[in-house]
Amino acid sequence: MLLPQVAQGNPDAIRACLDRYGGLVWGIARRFFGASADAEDAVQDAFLDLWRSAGRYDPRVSSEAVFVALIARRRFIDRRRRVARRLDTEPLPEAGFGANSQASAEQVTEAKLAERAMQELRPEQRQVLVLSTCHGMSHEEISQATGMPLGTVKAHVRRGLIHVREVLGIGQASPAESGRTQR
Amino acid sequence: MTDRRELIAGSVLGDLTHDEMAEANAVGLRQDELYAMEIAAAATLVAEVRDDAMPAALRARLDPRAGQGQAKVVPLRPKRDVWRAMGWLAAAACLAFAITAIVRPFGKKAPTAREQRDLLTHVADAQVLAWAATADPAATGAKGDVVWSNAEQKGFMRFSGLSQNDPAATQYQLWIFDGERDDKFPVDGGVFDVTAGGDVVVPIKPKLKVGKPVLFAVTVEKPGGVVVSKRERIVVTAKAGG
Repeated sequence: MLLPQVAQGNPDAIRACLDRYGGLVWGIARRFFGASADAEDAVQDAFLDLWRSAGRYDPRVSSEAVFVALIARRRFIDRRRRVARRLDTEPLPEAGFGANSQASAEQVTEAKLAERAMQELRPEQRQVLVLSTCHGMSHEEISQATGMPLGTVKAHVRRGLIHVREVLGIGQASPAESGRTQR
Repeated sequence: MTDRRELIAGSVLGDLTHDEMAEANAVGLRQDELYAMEIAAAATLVAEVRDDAMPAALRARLDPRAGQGQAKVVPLRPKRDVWRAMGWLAAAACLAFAITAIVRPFGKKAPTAREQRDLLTHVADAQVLAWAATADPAATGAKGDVVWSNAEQKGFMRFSGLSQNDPAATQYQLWIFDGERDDKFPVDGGVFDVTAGGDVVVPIKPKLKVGKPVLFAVTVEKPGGVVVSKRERIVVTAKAGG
């Protein structure tokens, strides 16, 4: 694992982290910002935040790749939607998920599960979820690009994401809190 | 009343209405619930987004050797011994870097795009597809082919006769139509320029995993490319499986 060493300020670990995840973070930035100078600044922000947040990485909760993507997504959304309502700039929780925590997480396990979850979605749901999460497009932009009503886009993105989380089996709400399975 | 899971998803997506925000505040969404939904979004990214080679200048800027990244690291438990060891590590890294810089020119050269393209044609599932030019003026006399290996998720385009573009005004962008996706949303294969005459070989950089490529198409777009093409200027196409 690299992130615990990054948290210690180990420059070799930082370099290794850039080598291992630089392509992923740059790949995400390219989808959010295209080949603009913004993409480079956003990547720099993301890695600086990663160095600061590395000490909070919990291998029981996610793989390192997913943690890195999570930090990058936060920074990129911050950049794209500074004025939008959102809760995802809250600090990372200190603890894991208790009873629902995985004992360990293999690298990319969640990615494979997420991929399976995406395949299980209806094609139009999958499209809007990709446009939202991977390209950072707003619901309005997706509605414009696809011709789907705004409400449909919103429902597809939310329910698609809920489905991915359910397949990942993390942080499930208690039966009393959750309703029917929605897809 | 909105389903709790929708409130959590909406919070993470930043799309809660005013009423939903009030509901979310009233029911009290927990940090671990929000974090789990964020992990789902991040896992989707890792599953769907392909790595892209980071520009060398950016990589250098982030490297702790440059002093910039390292200066902003906040060590949780700084230890004197660790810092002393890091001094030696830094010295060793500098020495290794210097040796590499000296030795590399005498070592094996990295294969060119053209060599990589030729190698890819030998991969078992590689398809070599001829470009068909459209009536677009930029495509007059354009010829060439596209080599794609789905197993490797890798490919190269070869062009001759495709008009040179001014990167400040327009760029070419490749789209890969995937039989497993809606054809309204082909996979972005990356932007590229043709700034030299003659034969040009361009690596394909798909932004998402390609399931079953059925058509490759090159459009003319604004600099940097677009997320969704209006398909106003299609210059060449190559049909797969034909």
